[in-house]
Amino acid sequence: MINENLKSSFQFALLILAQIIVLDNINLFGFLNPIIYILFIITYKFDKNQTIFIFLCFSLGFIIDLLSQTPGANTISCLIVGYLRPFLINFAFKINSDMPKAFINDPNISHRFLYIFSIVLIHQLIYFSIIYFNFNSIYLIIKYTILSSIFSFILLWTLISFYKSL
Amino acid sequence: MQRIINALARNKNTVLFFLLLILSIYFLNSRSYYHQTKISKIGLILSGNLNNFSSSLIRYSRLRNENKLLVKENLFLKSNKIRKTYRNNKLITLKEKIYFPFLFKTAKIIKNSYNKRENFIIINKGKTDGVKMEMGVINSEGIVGIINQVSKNYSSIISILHNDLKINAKIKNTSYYGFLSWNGNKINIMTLEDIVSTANISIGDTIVSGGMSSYFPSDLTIGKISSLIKSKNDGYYTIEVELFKNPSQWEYVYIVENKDFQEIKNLQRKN
Repeated sequence: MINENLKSSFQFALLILAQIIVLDNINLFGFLNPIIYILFIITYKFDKNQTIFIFLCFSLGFIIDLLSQTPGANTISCLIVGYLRPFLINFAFKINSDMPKAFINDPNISHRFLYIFSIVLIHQLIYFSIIYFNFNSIYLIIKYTILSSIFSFILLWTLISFYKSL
Repeated sequence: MQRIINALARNKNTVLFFLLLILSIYFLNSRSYYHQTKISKIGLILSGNLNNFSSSLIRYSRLRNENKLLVKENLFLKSNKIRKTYRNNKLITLKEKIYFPFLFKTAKIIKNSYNKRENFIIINKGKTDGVKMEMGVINSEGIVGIINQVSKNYSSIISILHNDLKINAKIKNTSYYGFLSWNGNKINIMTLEDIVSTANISIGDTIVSGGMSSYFPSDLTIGKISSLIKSKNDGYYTIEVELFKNPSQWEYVYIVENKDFQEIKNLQRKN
């Protein structure tokens, strides 16, 4: 139990550092920065306390916001994704979110794909909507959301494959 | 109470989520100027609509009073008209004609101000309705002010509750002329200056407009004398005038247009 919590906190810190130091400086095509810290939200144990999880999502986004000098877009998008995660799990795996280890053991790849992609897409959509916050730039918001989601998704998928093989 | 607590405990995740969401929106608002302006714009739209709604409700509840005032004003206008036609008929027989250069327009106050030292009022008539600068503005029971700015649909008025505005006034049925001004203390008390202390006046006398300026016709009622102090030094009265209608209750006004205003002004300029 302690071991698990320790692992979670280690992952938390490592993901934040990786995001700030490495991934925020990629600037692919001049504007694309993939997100990796959302891996914490994806891989956090399904059967843990949801209240603590919402708090953790909030603090994750907040720390990222503080370190990357953005006003609050990461906080809000992380918080909303964290709150919606049980519904997304239901939607993707067709099971109750209380069931443990569904993520690791589910042999069906399409389920996992749906789950990760929906989380990334929702996160990016909220993130860019808040950054632009204007109906007139809806075209830009959609373009950035789709490009950044695809890029992030590829990165996350590879990382999770490594993570599983560990 | 128990039920409320139970409901809160059952939905504690949702409650927590919304609390943190509000907190993060607050951070967003305080950390980014761009979002601050956007959010305050939304707030402005909301509060504007809300105020419009509540003011229309309040106005509805005031309709009875407003009707009473309108009836009173109608009576005044009708009696005036009857008197005028009577006089005109008589004068026609004498082959004479009274020249009356003033035209009137109605308007409604949309923003009244009375608690500053320099007060301005905004009304809902502007250039498209023929309002021009330096027209006088009156209401049913007194003088309101003089127009100083005109936009397409709105105009702003220097209220008589403004330090720099002096209005020519006199005591009714006499020829004692003075200047009415506001000293900034109480909103329904004004000061009348330049009345010599030999004048035979008393508390309760009515003050009317003097007609010496080209802004207002003469003999518009303004207020009544509420206090009278004879100054020993300079031989003038210090007179306090109580307005008939409290400025905080002003709502409908009449704009006075003097057809000869430009002519008089040109004449003054030549001197």
